[in-house]
Amino acid sequence: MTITLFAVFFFLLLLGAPIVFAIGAGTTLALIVGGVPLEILSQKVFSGLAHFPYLAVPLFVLAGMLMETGGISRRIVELSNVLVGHIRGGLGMVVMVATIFFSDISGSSAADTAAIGSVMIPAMKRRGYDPAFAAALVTAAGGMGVLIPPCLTMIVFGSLTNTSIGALFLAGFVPGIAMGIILMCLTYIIARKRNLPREQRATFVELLIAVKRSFLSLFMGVIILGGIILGIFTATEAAAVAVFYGFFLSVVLYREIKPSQIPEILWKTSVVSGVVMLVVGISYAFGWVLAKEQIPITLANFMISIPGGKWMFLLSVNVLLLTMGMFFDASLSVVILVPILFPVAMKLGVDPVHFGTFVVMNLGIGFTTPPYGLSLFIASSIARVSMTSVIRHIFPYIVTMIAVLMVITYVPWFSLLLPRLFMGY
Amino acid sequence: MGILFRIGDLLNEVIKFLAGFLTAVMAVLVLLQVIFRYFLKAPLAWSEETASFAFVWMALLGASVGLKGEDHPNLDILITRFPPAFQKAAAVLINLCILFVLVVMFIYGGKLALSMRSQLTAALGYSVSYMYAVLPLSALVMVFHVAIKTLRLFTGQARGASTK
Repeated sequence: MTITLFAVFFFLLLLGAPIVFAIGAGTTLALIVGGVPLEILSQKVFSGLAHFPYLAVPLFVLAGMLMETGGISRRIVELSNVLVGHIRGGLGMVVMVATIFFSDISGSSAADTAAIGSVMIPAMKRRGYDPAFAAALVTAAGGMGVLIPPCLTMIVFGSLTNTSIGALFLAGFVPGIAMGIILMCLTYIIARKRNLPREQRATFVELLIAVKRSFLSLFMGVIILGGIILGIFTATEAAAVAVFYGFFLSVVLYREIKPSQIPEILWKTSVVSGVVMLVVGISYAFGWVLAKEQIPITLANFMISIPGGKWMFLLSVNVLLLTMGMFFDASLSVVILVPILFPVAMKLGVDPVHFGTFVVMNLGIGFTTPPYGLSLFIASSIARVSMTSVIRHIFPYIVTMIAVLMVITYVPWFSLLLPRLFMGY
Repeated sequence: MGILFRIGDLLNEVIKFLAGFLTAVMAVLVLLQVIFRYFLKAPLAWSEETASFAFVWMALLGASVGLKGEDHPNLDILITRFPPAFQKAAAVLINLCILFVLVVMFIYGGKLALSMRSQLTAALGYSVSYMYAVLPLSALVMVFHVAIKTLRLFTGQARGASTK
């Protein structure tokens, strides 16, 4: 069964089949070879999907789309420009700060990259930035944005392991901001070397205007996190509140979305989340075959037997997840690997929330790495440059992110600070 | 042949509408759930299962629109280095494999849905078969789209544009 599974999967994958069907075909053939009733496929896909926490996925996608179309991303960029534009490499700084703000209200890194990239990449091109470097900046920011709650990958991780999604959201906050600051330092160094322009320093009045114009947009992040911290609602319910807040701002208050645009936003939401959820569902069936073949137990025993205990385990998980992240989507890696790795982590005494944070961080870096990185893909297509030309520029960012990842991996304090402070975790 | 393509496009428009409608229903229901539980202190018993119903349907219907629009991610670093004739043969083989998975999902998903007839949902008491029915239904829609795509490979007509 296992050989059929992986042979079919890799063969179709390399031929360029949609990944979800490469897994699907591998799983189905493995079921036939193993003489397992084929109902299992549909049953696992269905029971995998039908978890209430997953409703947060389309809801956060919808909230992100409303904000992207509704001019909220533009307001956030304006504010970021006033805050950090006057530093050398100002627009690069703006990319980082705006992505932090936008991630704080949107759940998907793809949406962060698309929203900030479509405003910032043309702006950077006009100011004489190398388009490939501009794409690299937006890509790196997208990788960082995964850590800043809300986050789809955290929702999938939380549903799979019964870890509090609220605690995971809070846990990502400090590492996410820290990552943002360090990436800004790196951008500053690169900007000095390349002599990139600064933007005009804003006056105090301009600052006030920008804050006023973006205040209600940013307040959304406060509602989401505040509501979860205070225990008013779950992550899923926070997502629904975000949808209606975003709807209110962009349709009623700012009037930047016409009612006639709403049907398109709604069906596009179903497509984006359908693509993610089909991968999640099929991965459940895939995981079932692996479990039947006792692969997780074998792998777990192997990982426990590696000398060096917890620290060595975390390092090997880093290597595994970074490699997976180069080739696959984050939600797919989570559904396949987390059921295997989580029990081992628990056995070795790793904190579940800390484990979730660093799994998500690994896969966030995977958004930026070739050959398959979602942020890399979106940013280079907005900049109209080849992915290959971006790789050279993204490289220092990836190295830096991995360095930060090491610190987060081995110092759980960063991830556990806020959950302990606010949730008595 | 042209009529088949037009039926595919029309079907897709109907499904887009339905999936979009269900997305809105789901969002409204979850919001109502918060309002009733937290502000009116009268939790709704049926909102969660109905929202889940809408979610499963919108996700799988949306996945079918995504399949038509080529939105499901793939790795193309290797295949694009091969000559066009080889790429075309690979595309046909891939489509046949996708059809195989979808047909299995349609037949056995359908059997599964039928076998659940007598199982009722907790709050509203309708048969869970209605929820499971989206599995064979979306599989069938996807079979149709993939079959048309395969035909197009042979007639040499352009592929559907991405919805992204």
